[in-house]
Amino acid sequence: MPTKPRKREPERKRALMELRFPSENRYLHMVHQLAKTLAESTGFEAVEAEQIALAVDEAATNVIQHAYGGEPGHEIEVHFDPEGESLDIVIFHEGEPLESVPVPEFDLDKLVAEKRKGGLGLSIMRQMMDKVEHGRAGTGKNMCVMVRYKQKGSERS
Amino acid sequence: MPDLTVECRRVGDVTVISPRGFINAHTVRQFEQALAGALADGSQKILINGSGLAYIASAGLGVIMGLIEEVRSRGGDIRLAELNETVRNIFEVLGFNHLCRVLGSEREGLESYHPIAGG
Repeated sequence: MPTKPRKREPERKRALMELRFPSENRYLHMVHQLAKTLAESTGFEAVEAEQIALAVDEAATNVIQHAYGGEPGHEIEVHFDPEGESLDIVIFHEGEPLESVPVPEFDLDKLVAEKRKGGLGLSIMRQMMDKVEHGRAGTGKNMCVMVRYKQKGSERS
Repeated sequence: MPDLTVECRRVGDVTVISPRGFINAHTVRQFEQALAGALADGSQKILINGSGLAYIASAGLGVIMGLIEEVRSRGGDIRLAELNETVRNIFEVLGFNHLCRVLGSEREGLESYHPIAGG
């Protein structure tokens, strides 16, 4: 009597998407749209997905402008991990480590009084995401880790 | 389709600036030039109609932030109207709705510069 084949549970593997693009501003919109689409497909509402996309846009802009000093031709790598309780996004680069760039506390009135045009990017990232950390990966690349929790997300908008 | 087009027109003494597309580090120069051009032409009352604006990143917000005090010191203002839900949300989260007046429609934006007495 033939034995019934045992049903095998598929091996669970963390879904991970990767994107590599050159350090040029013209690619920012593509990254923005990808992050937005991914966030929406992960279950975030449209407004939340736009917040996440904006944070990714700002993080990538910071890498282009500050880590690479506006120099084209360098590689930026973005990893998206939508599995689990949060959408985790990590941006890797080999430019200047961004944690060494001094960033003042966000004070809109002060920025306006000083007629400043900059200083908003990191503030946007911190406002839109639950966690933003800069550090160094095991590979030696610099990284910016951003996390947005799925449940908490609904309380933000 | 271009990433950003910026249309400027005069309605009385108000310059209506209508960006269509998105404003980020890639396109911000066009937006900045449109605002600077309006101010150079003597416009002090600026109304940004955001009905065609998909999103605005820190680069674009920085332009408004950097100019608004100067415009106000000349007796003018920069106001916004017809922002979509996501742009309005960004404004609120960052507190820009306290910095700039945000009106529902272009008409309301124009009328805000010329309030009708008793209205």
